[in-house]
Amino acid sequence: MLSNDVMPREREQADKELRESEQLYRHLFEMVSDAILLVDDESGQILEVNRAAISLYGLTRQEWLTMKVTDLAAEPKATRPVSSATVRIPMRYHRRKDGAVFPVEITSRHFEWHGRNVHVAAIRDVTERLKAAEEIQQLNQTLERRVVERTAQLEAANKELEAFSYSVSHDLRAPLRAIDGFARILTDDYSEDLDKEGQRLISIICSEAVRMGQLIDDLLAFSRMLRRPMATMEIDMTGMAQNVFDDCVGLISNREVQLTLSPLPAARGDMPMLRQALLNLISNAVKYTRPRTVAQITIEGRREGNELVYSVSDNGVGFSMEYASKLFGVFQRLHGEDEFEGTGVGLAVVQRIIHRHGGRVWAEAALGRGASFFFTLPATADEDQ
Amino acid sequence: MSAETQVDILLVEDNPRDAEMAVRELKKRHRLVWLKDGAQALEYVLGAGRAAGQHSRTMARHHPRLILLDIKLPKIDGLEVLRRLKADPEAKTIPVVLMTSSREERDVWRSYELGVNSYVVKPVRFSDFSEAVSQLGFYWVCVNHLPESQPVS
Repeated sequence: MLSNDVMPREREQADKELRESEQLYRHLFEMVSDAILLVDDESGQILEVNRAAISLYGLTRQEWLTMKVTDLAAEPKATRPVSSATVRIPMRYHRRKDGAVFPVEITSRHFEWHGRNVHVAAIRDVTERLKAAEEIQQLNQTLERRVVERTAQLEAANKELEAFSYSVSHDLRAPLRAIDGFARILTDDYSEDLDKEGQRLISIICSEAVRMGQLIDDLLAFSRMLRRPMATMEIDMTGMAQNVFDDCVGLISNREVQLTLSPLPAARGDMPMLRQALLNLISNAVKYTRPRTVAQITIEGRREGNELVYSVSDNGVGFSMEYASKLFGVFQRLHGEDEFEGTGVGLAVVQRIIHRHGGRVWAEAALGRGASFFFTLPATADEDQ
Repeated sequence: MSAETQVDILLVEDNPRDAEMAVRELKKRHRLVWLKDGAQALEYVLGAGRAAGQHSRTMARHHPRLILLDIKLPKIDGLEVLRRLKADPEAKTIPVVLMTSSREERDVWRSYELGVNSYVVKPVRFSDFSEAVSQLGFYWVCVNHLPESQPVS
């Protein structure tokens, strides 16, 4: 022991530092939001508590100091049934003075203090955390259930659509066949009772019935494009375009159609579908160049970044860009039936096919000055173009 | 099977309009029976009671030279009629032509799996329809050769 008169100044200084240090730790001890207990290892007696412990448990400091650490534990059975099996917070349940049970997370550290083995326990109320974790878990479960429900709904809708188009295919054709058929039978069996105008009127009934049959067929072809499974392969687009063009103009003998076909980058896609898309675009080009003495059709393609861009251009009648947005809709037509025949499904099919391949379609045109139709397909990494 | 029950063509068609148009064409050249549902068709070909799996009652079986069958039929549909006809040791040699409005690929597949002799999609245009019916009747009844009786096994 140091006596008072030996190095009083140093002692005074040491005392002051000790007091300040103690004050600092006392502040830290009292300020933290976790409840902190100092516990005797052997007896479990609580030796010291901070303010957070007092407010968290609702016990006074005097009450705390008469308690053992084991007095805090609540029977697990007394706790509310939580789905804690899946919520992974290592925790226990403690009881407040008012009897309320709450989940806690405890970290502790053992050391020697005044010659006794003690530990300091930091106790955190994890009610909020547990609630949040449970909420997340519940949201996840809800989400999973919703995904399952929506998938089932979509599948059901798809099935319904299939059943719908099946019955359209079967049931809508029959009355049309009867309209056409019985009108023809009328002209066959009662020709002497019908004058020229009467026969003309009946022939309109027949041709309209047949046209509606065509509309139904086209609509069904369109809906099949939605459902048809895709088989992807490497496609020689140049060869395919030439082939499709030859098919289109093979039937035409009364006018000149010139093709400018530059080598196109190869694509990966579904062969019959892409052929159908090219066929619709090229046959459109052939159709809408009919008033030209020499029809000129240009098919081009190039790689742009990670896309392959193809185009089919013609010097035909074109259209006003005002209506460009309507072009790809089903049954949308920009020309009169008496001007250019068609049901208005061709470009809708093109769009559907290209979208299913992950590409885009658009058109550029001017009235009377030809049209260009563009479509893109995703380029594969190994393509060198 | 007696001579008076011998017919060339059994037409199984529930749509009276389609039937009338087909009959109009076929009766020009062939003896024809028209039935309106699958149960009647099976009864007609396999004999009464057989179609329902009862062997107690017997009624004459009829073997037309051709069966023109629609797919969508009341009571027993065309594909089921086809299946039962092709499963019958005697009736299986009768040519069955499905004449239907359905272009559905699965119907076409199923029909051929069940042993259909031909699958024809009814054209909407009456002139095409009449021609198809007429050609079918001519080919299967007048050109096609059928076995006379059961081979000895």
